[in-house]
Amino acid sequence: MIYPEPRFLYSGDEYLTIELGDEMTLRANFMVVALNEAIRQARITGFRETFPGWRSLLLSYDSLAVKTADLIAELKGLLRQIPPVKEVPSRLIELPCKYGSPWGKDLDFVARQNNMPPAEVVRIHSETIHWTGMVGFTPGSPQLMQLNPEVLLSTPKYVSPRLYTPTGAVALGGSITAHYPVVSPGGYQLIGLCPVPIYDRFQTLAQFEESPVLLRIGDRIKYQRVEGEEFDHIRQLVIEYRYQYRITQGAYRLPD
Amino acid sequence: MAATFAVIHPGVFSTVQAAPRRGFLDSGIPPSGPMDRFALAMGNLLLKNPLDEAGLEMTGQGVKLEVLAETVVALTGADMDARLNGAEAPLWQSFLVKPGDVLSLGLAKQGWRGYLCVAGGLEVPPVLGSKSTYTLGGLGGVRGRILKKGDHLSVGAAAEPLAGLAGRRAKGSLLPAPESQYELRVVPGPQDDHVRDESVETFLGQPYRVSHNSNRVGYRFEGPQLFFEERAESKDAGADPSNIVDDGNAVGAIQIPAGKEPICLGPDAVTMGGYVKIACLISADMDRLAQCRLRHEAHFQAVSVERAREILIASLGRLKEENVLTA
Repeated sequence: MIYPEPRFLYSGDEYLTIELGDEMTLRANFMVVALNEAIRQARITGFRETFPGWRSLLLSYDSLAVKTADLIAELKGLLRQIPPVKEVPSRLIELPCKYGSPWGKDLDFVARQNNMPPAEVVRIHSETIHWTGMVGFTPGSPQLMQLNPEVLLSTPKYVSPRLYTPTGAVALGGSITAHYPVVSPGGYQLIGLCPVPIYDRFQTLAQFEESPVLLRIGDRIKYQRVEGEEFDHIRQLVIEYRYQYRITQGAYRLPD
Repeated sequence: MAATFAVIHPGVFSTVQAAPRRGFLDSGIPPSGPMDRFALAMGNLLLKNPLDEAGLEMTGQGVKLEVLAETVVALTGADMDARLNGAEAPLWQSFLVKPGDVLSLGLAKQGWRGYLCVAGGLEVPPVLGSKSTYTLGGLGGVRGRILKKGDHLSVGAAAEPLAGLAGRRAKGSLLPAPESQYELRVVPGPQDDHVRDESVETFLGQPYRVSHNSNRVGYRFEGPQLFFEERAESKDAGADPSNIVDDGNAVGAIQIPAGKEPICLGPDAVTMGGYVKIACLISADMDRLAQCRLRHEAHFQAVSVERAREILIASLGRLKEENVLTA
């Protein structure tokens, strides 16, 4: 649900959680995007940075500059002024993905869970547009929601997390797709591998000049299915710093 | 620039830490920075550096360095049995080192994290606005990683001629009492209402043991099982009552997956998670957590957010020139 009034929850003395609801929906996420923009533009006293999530926003503040009670009062005033948001800026980003073995080794499992052949999982996952609801856990890792899928793909997560997930892994857990920017543990089912980085700590590729992280909340992702030779070709372009990301600026409107 | 130190032995987990990296939390990049903020700041104060200048954070075991150029250093935080050319070197006091000297630290005897500050600070390129090392993301410090044998470390320009920077020591009365470091003060929330009242009491009343599985990402604690309030089944949150719809993690947040092994998140923590956070460590007590020795017993104690702020102001208020004594 979306709460009638936002909840202000202490997260220690340097962070505040502003919780708008307890649901993982586009509607709740739109409200978070709007709140995040409003807070960032409002020049709140003591503001450090924010972490916008599915249904809540974590605000980091300098508690030497502002008392928590005063901060909450200021935020309450600000929240009253935020109009309902129906449309937000949203880039459409195409990312290549090689589905199935060797890296998408759980594709068959996911197919069985969804009572369809692996090729059908691949078709649906690559034809669906995915909404970036949150970026985090590890640097630049998006949590992606399927927008209006023909069939909502869904699968249980690993019972015990694996210790190694390769860079670029695309994986499904529940109905959320995770994309792993760095080698890390992980509990989502591996379905594919993306040959282009979404995190470039050296900021060598032109796309990463301003930030080592490609994706941000509100981006829409379309996975473009690629096979062996094309995958290798794209890898080569990345290695030679010649890969061009396919990004279209735009906006996305909340469906009625 | 010519190096000032050569690393003979890198210790176990030694990283450059300085002012935190702000502004990339929404990209999944935590702030990093020194885990014991006071210790690094006091080391810098002794050397008349900016308080958040880059120094070396050493974990459990210190480094062994060959000095290549004259400078002044200060060791703070954990007592790591520091030696300069084999002779005991002071803690919380700046001293001169010369080319050919060997500065050697050993295992932590008291506390867990030692800091080595140097006049002018360690010179590493800022990455995303900070010199602090974040190893998981490979950012900051020495090429985004822990120190290795053979690394060379350069230093920046000292604030004053070196002679005036040596022999400055912190007033003993300001320094943290070792017995206090296992009293960890927390502000309840953000999800303490998911936990049964008697389990909140258990959390705040019973001793916990610091797990060996603890680092800058998170500290694990072993203790009694905690129980959750009944709740409606949620497909969004997950099956276990300790699951919530993922939200942002504060540094210091204490997650309780399955009600077992509370995990207090450190400065290099993952930025989000799907577990109930029963309480958050107050910012001033990250200094205490940084010095908690593994397998020791700790207690959590609840304070108000207003009290947490007062404690922070008092803690940082110690960092004044008048609290520095000159030998």
